[in-house]
Amino acid sequence: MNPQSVRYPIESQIRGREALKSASERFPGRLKTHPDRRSTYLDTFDWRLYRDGGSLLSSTDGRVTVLRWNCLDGTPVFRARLRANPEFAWDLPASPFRNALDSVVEMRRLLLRLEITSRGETLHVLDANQKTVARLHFETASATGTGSVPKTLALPILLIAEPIRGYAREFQALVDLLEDEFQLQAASSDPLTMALETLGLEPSASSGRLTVQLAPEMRTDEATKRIHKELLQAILDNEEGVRQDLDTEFLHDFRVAVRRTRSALTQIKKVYPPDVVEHFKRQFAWLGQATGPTRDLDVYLLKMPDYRATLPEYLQTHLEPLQEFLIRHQRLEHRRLVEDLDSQRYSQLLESWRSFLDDPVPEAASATSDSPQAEIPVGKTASNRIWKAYRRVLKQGQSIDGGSPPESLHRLRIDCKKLRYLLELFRSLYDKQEMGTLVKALKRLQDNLGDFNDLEVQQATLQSFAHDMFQEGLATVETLMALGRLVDRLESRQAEERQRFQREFAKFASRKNRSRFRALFEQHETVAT
Amino acid sequence: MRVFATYNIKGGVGKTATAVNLAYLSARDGARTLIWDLDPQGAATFYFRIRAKVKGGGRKLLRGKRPLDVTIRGTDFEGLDLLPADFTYRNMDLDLVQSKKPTRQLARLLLPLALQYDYLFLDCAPSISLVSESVFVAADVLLVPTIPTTLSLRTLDQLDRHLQERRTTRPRLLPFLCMVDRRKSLHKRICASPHEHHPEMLQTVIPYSSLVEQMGLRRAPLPAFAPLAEPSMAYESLWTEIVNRLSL
Ligand SMILES: Nc1ncnc2c1ncn2[C@@H]1O[C@H](COP(=O)(O)OP(=O)(O)OP(=O)(O)O)[C@@H](O)[C@H]1O
Ligand SMILES: [Mg+2]
Repeated sequence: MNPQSVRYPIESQIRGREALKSASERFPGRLKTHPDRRSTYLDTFDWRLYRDGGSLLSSTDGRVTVLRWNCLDGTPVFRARLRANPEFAWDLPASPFRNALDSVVEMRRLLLRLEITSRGETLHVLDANQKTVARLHFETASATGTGSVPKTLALPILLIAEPIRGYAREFQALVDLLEDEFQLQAASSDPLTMALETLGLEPSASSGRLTVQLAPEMRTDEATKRIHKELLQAILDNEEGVRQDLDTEFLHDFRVAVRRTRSALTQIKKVYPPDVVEHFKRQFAWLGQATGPTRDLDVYLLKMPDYRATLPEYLQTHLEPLQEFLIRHQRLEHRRLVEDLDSQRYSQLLESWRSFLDDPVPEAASATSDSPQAEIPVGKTASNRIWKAYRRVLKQGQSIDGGSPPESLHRLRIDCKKLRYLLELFRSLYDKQEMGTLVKALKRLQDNLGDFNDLEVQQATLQSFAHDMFQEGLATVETLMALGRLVDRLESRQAEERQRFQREFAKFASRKNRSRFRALFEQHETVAT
Repeated sequence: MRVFATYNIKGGVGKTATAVNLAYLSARDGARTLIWDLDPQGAATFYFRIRAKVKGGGRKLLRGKRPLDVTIRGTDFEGLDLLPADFTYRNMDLDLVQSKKPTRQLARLLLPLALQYDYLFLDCAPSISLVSESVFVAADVLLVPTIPTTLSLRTLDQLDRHLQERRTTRPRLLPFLCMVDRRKSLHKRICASPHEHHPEMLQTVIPYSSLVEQMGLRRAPLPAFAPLAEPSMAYESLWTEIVNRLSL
């Protein structure tokens, strides 16, 4: 394949111009100045494209927007001409570009992350036929972050040598001039990384996984506070996106952080004073409930393409009223949610929670009375809690057979959830690979149990939607028929999940996994709880 | 990779202008595009200011002794590459006939390019020969520029019949009217209902315009130097119609 452009930082504009000028004396060609050009890097809130090793750059030229998806090293992947920036992957016209983008960013909104303004001059190196055989760009640029306080900073001044396929010799001559005569050294990072570094942005942050690093000998209350602080930060990070309803993942991640907060409060027992636990448990339960209705509707909206695909073609269009109904109610519920986020109750909750977390943990001994587990090393607490939760999952799961009632699966689902939260909260205490394997195994079982439960809830909910839509005058006979068909499909899918359960559980409870759990978490001296 | 060939038994009907302009538009819209100038006269190569020369000549290339890959050259336009013509292509028939299955040889050579490009345009020399038979095997679509005269329409019929007789898979035939002069009443009459002359005839017609001839002076695709001119717009709508017709 063709070599990529090589970028050379150069210390000053004067030096850059000089270099361009002497290159133009050496190589016949045409010099062209270009006016300010603005381009924007698009990426999701959690930098999915960047973390996937690429960048999505949009530049507007008159009335058309050109969108380029490149590997970070500059290799082009996809390019498209559009009327405007896409807000979501599905805004692109049907194409391989859209499919590939969709598989990386999914439901996340493409935010304007970074704006680049550049100007400069280009030397088009020409052959005897006036054919361009290489290009040399001289570029000065600045980058603007798009946060709450956007700042603009100058980027390194660059000379960029651009090859053209089939003219390797001409390109090499250009590179030799830059490297041998001008003594320039190629930049070590790609343009986006360079801009991020200049602005001091850290794109690896906010991926949803806990990053807090615990040490086994740390006091349990200290460790729990660290976990809670990180979760509080996740709540704050996602709040603005929730308020603006930028995409459904903000609320999803917000809710996960709230649930993990509650689960750490209740699952890591006797480390905070009981009145503190009681108070915040209630408050975060309220916050969880306040966000529930919007999330439910988000989920149904996300399921719509799948629902449509489930139905025969002649019924598909009759699902449109459901979509409208969902959108209308989602807007309503979202407005209510924003009211809750604007409430004093919410701001006081976060404030008092923050101040509790910031309080230093009590000195030794003073804690013993009402939080007896506070000073135990967290490594011990974690193993103890996880082992117990795991034993409960095993026992509950083993008691289920083909004839057990659905409630037994629901109970197991809840037990699995508790185990999962504990594994995630304490992940950093254990071997990364082993934890990865166990979480993955548990996740498979949870997916099965989750789907089983979810499919049941969906049937009930769709029936109640049908009822409401009928009352709101949104449902035609065909729409009701389509919904009926859908409920039937969901019912048979639920039965399939029930069928699968025994197999999935057996996999999770395999001898290998059991010995893994034992090796990691079983303790020989028991800790009184 | 989808392969288009601009083809007509007749010469001088606008095959090269079509290949060059459509390839340019396809690349501009973001598709990775390659144009292979199969005509020893090298008109398409000339339009891109590239030297009509293939190292080692056409024979090595056609026998698979030299990969196409290293012969490809980037044009001045993003996403658009060209495989240059070579004067030795005039012996292409002879070079092909010496390979095992002569009519499949061209298609075989294209295989390694399939992942590198979304669209390939083959710009063919006029005539019907072993080369054109090979093109019929390699191409998914034949774009046939047709001048609205009785004789040209007859040639189109001949081509259609010739393709129908082939037992192997045949390319889809997409003819369109070009070099249309609205002042001529015959042109006007034929253009009134294009599909009467062929069921697949495209609706878009390319007008006769001296701007198209200027491509030879400017040595660039027409929409690159006169994007808003009438014939450029005609090529734009031709490309859009093709994309829609094939649901690309
Ligand atoms: N729409 C048009 N209006 C006016 N002139 C045109 C038009 N299309 C092509 N021409 C001119 O007609 C001549 C032949 O066009 P072109 O080379 O595209 O045809 P061709 O079919 O490829 O020819 P050949 O058979 O020689 O390869 C060229 O000079 C070209 O500039
Ligand atoms: Mg030609």
